[in-house]
Amino acid sequence: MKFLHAADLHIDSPLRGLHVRDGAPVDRLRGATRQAFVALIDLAVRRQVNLVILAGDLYDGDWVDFRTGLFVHEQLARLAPHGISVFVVRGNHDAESVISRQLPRQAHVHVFSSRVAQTRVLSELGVAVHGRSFPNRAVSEDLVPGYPAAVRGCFNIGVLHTSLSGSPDHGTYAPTRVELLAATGYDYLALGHIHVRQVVRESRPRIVFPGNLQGRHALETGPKGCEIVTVHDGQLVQTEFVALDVVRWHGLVLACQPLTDIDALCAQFLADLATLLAGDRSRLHVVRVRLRGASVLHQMEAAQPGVLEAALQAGLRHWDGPEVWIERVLSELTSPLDRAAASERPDAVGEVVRLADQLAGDEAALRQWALAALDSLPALPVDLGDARPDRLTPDQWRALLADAEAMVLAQLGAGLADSVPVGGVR
Amino acid sequence: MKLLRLHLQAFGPFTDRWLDLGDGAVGLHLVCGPNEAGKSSTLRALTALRHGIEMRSTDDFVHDHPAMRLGAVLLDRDGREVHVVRRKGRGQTLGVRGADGGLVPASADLEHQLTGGLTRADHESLYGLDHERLRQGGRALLAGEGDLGAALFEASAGVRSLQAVVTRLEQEARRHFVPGARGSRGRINEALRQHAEQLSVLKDATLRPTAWAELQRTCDETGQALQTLLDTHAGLDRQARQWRERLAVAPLLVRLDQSLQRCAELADAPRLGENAPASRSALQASTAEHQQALAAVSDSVGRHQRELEALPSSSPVVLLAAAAIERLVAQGETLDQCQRDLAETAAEQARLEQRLAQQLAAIDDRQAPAVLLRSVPTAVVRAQADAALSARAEAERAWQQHRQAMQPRAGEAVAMAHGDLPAAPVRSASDPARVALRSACDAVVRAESVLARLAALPAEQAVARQRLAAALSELGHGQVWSVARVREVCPVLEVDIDHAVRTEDEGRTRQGELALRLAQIEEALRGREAERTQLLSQGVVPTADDVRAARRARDATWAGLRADLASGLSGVAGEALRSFEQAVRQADALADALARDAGRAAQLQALQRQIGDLARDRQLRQTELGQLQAEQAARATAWQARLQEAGLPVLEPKSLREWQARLRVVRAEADRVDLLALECQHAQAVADQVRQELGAALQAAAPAVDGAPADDRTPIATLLALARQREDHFAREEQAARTSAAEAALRQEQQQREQRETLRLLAQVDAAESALRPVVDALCLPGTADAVAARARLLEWDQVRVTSDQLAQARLAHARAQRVLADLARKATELASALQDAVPPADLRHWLDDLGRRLEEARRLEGRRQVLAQALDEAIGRRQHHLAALQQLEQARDALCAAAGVRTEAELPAAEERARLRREAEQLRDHVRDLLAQGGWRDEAALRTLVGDLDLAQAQTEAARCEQALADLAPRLDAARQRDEAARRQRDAIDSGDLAAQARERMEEAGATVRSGLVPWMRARLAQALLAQALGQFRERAQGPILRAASTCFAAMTGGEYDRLQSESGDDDHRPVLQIRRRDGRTLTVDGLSEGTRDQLYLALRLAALQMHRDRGTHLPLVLDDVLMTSDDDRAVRVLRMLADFAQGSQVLVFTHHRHLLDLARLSLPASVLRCSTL
Repeated sequence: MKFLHAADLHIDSPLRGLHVRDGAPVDRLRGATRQAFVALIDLAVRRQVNLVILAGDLYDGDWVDFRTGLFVHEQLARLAPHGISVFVVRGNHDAESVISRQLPRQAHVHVFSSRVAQTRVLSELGVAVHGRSFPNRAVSEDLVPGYPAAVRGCFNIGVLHTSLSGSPDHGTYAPTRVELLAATGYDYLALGHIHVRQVVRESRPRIVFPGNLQGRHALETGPKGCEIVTVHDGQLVQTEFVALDVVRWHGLVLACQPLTDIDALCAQFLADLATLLAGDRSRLHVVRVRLRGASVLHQMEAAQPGVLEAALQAGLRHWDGPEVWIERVLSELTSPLDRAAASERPDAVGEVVRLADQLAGDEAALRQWALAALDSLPALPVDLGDARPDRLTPDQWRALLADAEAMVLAQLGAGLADSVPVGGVR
Repeated sequence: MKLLRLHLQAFGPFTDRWLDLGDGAVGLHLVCGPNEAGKSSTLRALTALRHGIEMRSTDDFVHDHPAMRLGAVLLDRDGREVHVVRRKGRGQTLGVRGADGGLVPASADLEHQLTGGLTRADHESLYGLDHERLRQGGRALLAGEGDLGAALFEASAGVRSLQAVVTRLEQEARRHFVPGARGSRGRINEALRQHAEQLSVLKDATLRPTAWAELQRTCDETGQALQTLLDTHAGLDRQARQWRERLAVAPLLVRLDQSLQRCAELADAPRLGENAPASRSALQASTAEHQQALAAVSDSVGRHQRELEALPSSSPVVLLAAAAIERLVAQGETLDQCQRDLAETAAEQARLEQRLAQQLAAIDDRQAPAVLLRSVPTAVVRAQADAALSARAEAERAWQQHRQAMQPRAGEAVAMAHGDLPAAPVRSASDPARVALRSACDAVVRAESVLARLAALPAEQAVARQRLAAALSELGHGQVWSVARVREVCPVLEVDIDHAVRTEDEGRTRQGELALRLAQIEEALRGREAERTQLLSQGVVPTADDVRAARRARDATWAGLRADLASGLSGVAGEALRSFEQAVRQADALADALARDAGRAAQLQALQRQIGDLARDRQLRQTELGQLQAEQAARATAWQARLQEAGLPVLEPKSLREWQARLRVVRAEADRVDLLALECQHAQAVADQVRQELGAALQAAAPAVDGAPADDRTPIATLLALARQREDHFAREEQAARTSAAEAALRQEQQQREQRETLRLLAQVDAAESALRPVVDALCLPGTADAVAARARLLEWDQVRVTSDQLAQARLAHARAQRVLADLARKATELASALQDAVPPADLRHWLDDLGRRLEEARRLEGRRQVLAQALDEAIGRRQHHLAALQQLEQARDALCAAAGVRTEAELPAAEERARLRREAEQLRDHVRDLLAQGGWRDEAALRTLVGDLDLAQAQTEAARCEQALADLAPRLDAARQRDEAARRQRDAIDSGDLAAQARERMEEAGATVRSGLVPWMRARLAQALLAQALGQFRERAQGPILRAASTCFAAMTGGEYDRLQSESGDDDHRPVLQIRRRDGRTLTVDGLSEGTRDQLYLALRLAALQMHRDRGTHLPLVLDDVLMTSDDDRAVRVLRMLADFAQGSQVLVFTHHRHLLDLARLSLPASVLRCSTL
């Protein structure tokens, strides 16, 4: 007997944080959650699994578009001719009260009740599947004590959407403890909710978060996919993680301290990229690059904003490895400028540095001054309200001020180290 | 830190070149060099000495990067001389040369003294100024339209063009966002537009569940109707098929019976295949062909055997040695060439031996050639000779160059005269009285803007007070407002006002909607009630509800009756029975009436339900309307209470917004009045202080020159003019004394240095001469030979070496030819022995040709014999084949006879004919059975039962009836199919596509673009604001000291033509503008100056800004490159004088390629303040 375990598919939820530039592979990026789900169904058919278990958050929320439900319905229907049964629990995103639309029931798909934990026994396979759906989005109690006892003579699978004992990146839902899960007597606990793959317990029982099926933003990095578990004579004999993501996110931190020019930056980037991707040409790789360290590159960026990102983009033209798209280049570089010495200068440069220090020292004044400078920005759409300048924190204002100061100094040509070209200044 | 000497050890075109920059006493140094003399390299060397040689330096065209070196002798801040060396490399590249000549790494403090704590770029901006930069500064002043802040900002930090910086920041901000633009001019604008578009697309693409359910229902209905028609069609079709089957089967059964009878008649005929006659004919033809071929092959065998016996035998010994013969014949083809090579190499040897002997005799005819050959110089000796000769030539060239450089100055030394030092003491610049006087003047200049403000403030205060009073009166609303009360008021936040306005608008809108809905409900209600009245006017009609109610009443009566009967209450049973009968009749009557008039009843029932729904809806809406009004009243009360608590007038939110705007104006005016009062107080204090300091300073300096004492009423401007006049007098006296003292010292030091250089160069020439002696001996030259002879002898030895090498090559070639000939003779002898021939002759050529011919003949005979043997074998094989084929044909003929049941071949045709007749009868039987089976209906017995006693006429009538019914059904079926297809197509058109999901993706992308674009836009905008505010603050702080210092410099440069720089408010935006006052008191702006004068103005501002750095203790040399290009000679002289004054504070190096500037400088400046050098 073989079954497939996946969770957190979030069908039709958009990939977040992508600002598409010219040349971006938009066709590959859009609909990635759908493509990954199709790949999952293909995999189930190809590997001839007996069960498909989806441990919550199949949808990202109530269907904005009815076609979301139709798509899932259509894909699940492909499993019926192959005799593959599907077991679904609803999670916090697609809880009973959240999903208000319904489609005709499919005979081979069983959605666990949200009122009480249920058991479905497949005697021909020697398998018992236990599960319970979320009745609504906020489930704060532990659902495990309500789960039925293990069925003797069967391989028992528990399906549950839970935050377990808590995760800093995810909300707390249906919390429980590993000891309680182990005490159920089940053989395999198919969990969902945590988007990072995690084998909580190796065996007796094996407890697994498979992670989500497709990373949706820059913080969901690495391979994403599902588990395929093989059971023989009621014993778990093999587990396998299969990556199904069509677009894979990566975070790449470049240490720029020793780098003194653009060529060195590009060379370092390509070298690190080759190590990171390890020649995986089977999918598109989306990379967010963070540049760190005190480097003269800071002044280059300040003098010509965007020059470092453009350089890395240009560097990719010489890249013959896997297909890569740079999602964003974040400069977290610090300036090697001696600010203390600069603030002592009696000239205009010193004036700029002292003014920046003065503003940074008074949060209220800084905020008022900055908002006055940005008053030409019109009202943003409701869903972009969090990006409004008046939502910035004091630390963010200070960081912006530091960047603005670096930009002014770079444009004035002040404090520049060797080999820093500044258009029209020097 | 001062630079005494620059050592261009290995840099650019220079090798070990020293540039003397004086002993530190003289501040102004003029360096003149023509084009290509290395002036630019020297300037780069000055920067490289401080900040290191750049990793990709282009000054490596003579010395490679690793060899690049610079050095200098510095005077550090403690007055000690330090010799530093800068090498090319990474990390610590600055070293200090110790007393023992070794290098130790320089300390961090020394590096800091060298750089002043500045980066390379800062240093070049602040302490470097070339002609191009000067011109740009002048043009920037013009482009900035004299903006004072920009001018001071640019001059202080060495910024090329502040206007360009501001423009770049503006462009950077607009690249991301253009305020007010709706198009795609900025990334954020474009993203916001995309966001709105995709939102619209999302709304359009979203599929609602109700729409999908409606389509599904229609699809189900049409599918059901189609299925019904299909079932009917299938029934009719089944009947038609049965009648057609009976009509088709009956004649086939008759044919089947006939064929069965024929088969029985031919049961004894043999079973032969259809091709039995053809097989028999083919067998007979094959037998004849093989017999003819056998005879022909037997003839061929006999002929081949005879030819083989007649062929002569070949020579086997020659064939066995065939390979050796071929190799030797091939080698023999080179015989002639080897003999020619032998002769030529012998002649070449003789010619080269003779040439070598001649060359050795030319070197020394007294010694044997073999002895001389052992004296050929080795490669080491030759390299040493080249090095010694080059060193000798270099030393001679240096000495000649020095002599030529000294010649022009020979006359100057003779004419040098010593002047007397000034007898009378003068007040130096550090004299306490002069320092106090200058300090007081500086204080006045710094306070200049404050004093101007003091004069203007009373009028501004009056205006501000009037505006405050007017603003207070505008607050109104029946109340008297004072400043104190205005400050106590706590305004409502704009966001709260927005919320209140929005809530009020929403409430009002909802009220309107409810009222409209109520009116619609009332109208609908009236309509339904009218319809009901009209319906009832035709008579009472019971509805299904009435029937159900009557039946419930009947059942209730029966239940009561049964309970009474069960409890034995017979008294009430009669009345209860009547009631029950009445209820039964009532229910039955209503049911009958409903059945009679079902249409009206259904209509009435629907109307009553609609009226009920409308009434409930009206009730709900009215309740909601009441709640809404109550909420509005509560909000209004809370709003009023909040305003009263905050001390605000009770106003509607929108009116309050306007009132609060007026309140902000009042507060701003009040703040301004307070600010002006404070400013006035501060300005008065400053004016009192500077007047007091200036008076005291003048009093302290009074004994030095004549002048009237000052009192407290004397205007500050008068005191300032008096102080400047006295300071100028002191400065002129001091300058004259310092010039005459320095000239003498300078000349004397120059002479001493030139004498030291002469002695050093002569010693260098002698050393090179001594190093040449051993080389002359090694070349077999007499001791008196010079460098020219040595070079000639080196060439002769080179020729000897070449000839000797050629001779050795010729000898090797001769030996090689001899070895080849001997090898050929040995191989010929061995082959003759193997063939048992006689010993070959000395000339092998004919012997080898004969051997080749013998080998060719032997090979021809052997080939012919092999061909004949192969043909004989093939003929014998063919004969065996034909014999075997004849035997097989005979066996086949016997088999045919056995199959036909005959004994001879002649009886076969008759048997074949009977077999054909039997086969045709059986084929007909099988064909009929196949036809019956192809119908796929039933087996033979069932078919005979089905046909039975079939009436053909009736069967044809029934079949025609079924066909007609099917034809009638076909159009209805087609229509139903089309309806179902259309419904399904419409439903299937709604696929599971991701159009809406993609629109969401695009919205998210646009949002991400907005988010990502906001940060750089905000950064650029804040950079603009930061720069603008820093510009204003710097102007406020620095304009006093810089303008005063720049005024002095500019006046000195222009000979007093422009005696003062000052700040004035611009016409339009009150922006301070730089103005220049002429000697006659008129003022003009920078656009009124000529190009050259503007450049000088910029130079004055730069020098004034550097004065600020000096005041902070930074004393780095200032390097000027061709900054006098746009100055005429008079202005150039004045600029040089001014630079000489400036150089008293720190070193000034002026580079130029105009030699006449040196003459002008020497004529106009005393030698004590000027030092000149040439490159």
